[in-house]
Amino acid sequence: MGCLAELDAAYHTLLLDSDARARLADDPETLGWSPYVTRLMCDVDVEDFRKLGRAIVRGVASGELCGMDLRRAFQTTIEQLAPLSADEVVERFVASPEFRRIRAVGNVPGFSPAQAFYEWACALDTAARLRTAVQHEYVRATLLALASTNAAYFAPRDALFRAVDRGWIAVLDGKRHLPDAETVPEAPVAAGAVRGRFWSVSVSLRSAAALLRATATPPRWAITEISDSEAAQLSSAMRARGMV
Amino acid sequence: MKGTVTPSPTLSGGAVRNGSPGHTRLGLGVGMDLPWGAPIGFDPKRGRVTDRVEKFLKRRVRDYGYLFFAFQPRGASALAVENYVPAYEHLRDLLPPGLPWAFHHTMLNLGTVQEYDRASVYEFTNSLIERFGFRWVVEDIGIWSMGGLSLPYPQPPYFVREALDVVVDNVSEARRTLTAPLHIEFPGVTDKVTAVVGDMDAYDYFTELAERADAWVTLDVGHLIGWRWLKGKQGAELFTDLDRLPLERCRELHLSGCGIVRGKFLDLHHGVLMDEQLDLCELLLERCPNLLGVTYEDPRYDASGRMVDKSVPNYEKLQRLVGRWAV
Repeated sequence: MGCLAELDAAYHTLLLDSDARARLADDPETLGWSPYVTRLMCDVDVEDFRKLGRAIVRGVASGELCGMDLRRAFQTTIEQLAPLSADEVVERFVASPEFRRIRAVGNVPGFSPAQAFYEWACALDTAARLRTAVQHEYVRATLLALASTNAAYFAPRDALFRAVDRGWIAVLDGKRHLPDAETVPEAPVAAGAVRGRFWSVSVSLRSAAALLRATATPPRWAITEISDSEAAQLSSAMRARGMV
Repeated sequence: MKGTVTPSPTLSGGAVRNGSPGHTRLGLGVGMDLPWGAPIGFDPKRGRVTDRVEKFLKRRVRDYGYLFFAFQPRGASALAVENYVPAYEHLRDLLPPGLPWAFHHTMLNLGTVQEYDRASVYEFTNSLIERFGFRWVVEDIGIWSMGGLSLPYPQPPYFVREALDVVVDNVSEARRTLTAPLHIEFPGVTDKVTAVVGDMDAYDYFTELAERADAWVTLDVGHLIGWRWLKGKQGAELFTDLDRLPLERCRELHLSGCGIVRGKFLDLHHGVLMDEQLDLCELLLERCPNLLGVTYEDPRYDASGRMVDKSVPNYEKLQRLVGRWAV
């Protein structure tokens, strides 16, 4: 790694990782940087990095820095991670590799903070008990963001989201986490961001199937669940209500 | 992408010329950061400035010889002109016809040493320049984002020579590509949200950057004081070494509310100017031969558009000071 790349990576690490900041203060050699970069970083008051790191955590939690208020969007998930406080949850997320996937400055094809947070939360040891809540909150946050703009800085990359003419829809399971987009939900909950409007409603399996049949890539179960004529009839009614 | 080449300070090389092309004293200007959803900002639901901003402009806009506003991303929107044009048109329509205006960028990210593809930023900016006739584009030399995430306050560039070489290239490219003149602003340092890395003096760094990239500059008076304060200079020493700055390249001065709290300098943008800022402004007015104007940045005002009482005395002093210079 070149000297500048190493310097930049070290700076980034010190902004996002409280453990690295503690090591800079106590035992900088353990950070594995070259003597030059170590000297430059040791010349900075570690308190400056700490304050700036906290400002980043606050900005990410409130949405000021990436346009999504994670504390509000993932309220239930964060509560399930007790006894950690909301700031502590975000601080751990900020130090994770998933956080570094976010591309939210708007000049490049983006990767949303909601998706990064979802992937991070699903990978936690405690994931089993929070997986359902985090999936619902992730889909809701994503669709709300998509409904707020004609052209978002990110496109949903998860197969749960399916494109319709003027927006996106998703079908989840109210009882459990859906492991993939082909699994049949026990208690379908549908949500959408269509023509700038967010909606969310519990539906029957047949209605869920009809909704998904209105997309370009319906799951197999939606094709076998109802007949073509019934799907057309239901889809037409849903279209009239602005759901697809 | 390519843009029309805009005049550089030296034009065909050699020393910066005094009384350069387009040099007319515009007097006092106003600059406003206008985040989406903030009381002083753009209203995302209505796609226009808030009523508070409108009322302020109705009260005060005739005080000013020009205006700039700072770009802020619109929530989860992509960087696409159509997401911004209606709101910017509304702002323009609140200004007297022909009032010069400029665009304070926040996406050029000129201080970064990371790979940062600016193609879409240039395209977006040049479309706005063409549509709205911005007279110049200004951005603080800083690290505004890292790896795709905005930072809470632009971080100063790394003050080391290897990084300076990269930043010279960044600025040169932006200057060549933008279709309005680029003014690079002296970076800010403020307690709580900046971490300064490197051993070059910021005055020397900035002057070498401006000269090697052949760029116009903006001097933010609070940023200069903040740097000197960080280096342990106080009292009269806040105002020395000005000849180490690229004064002949200076097109604009910025003054935003600052303060010193418990021995720490804070770039607060709260509207209240320090006496030291006015003193330094006066010195710089005498020494910057190519200056276009002085910007009062981020005024604070209530819902009726009335400036907060605490900010008024030094704001009025600034008005008088710049008024004497501009005639």
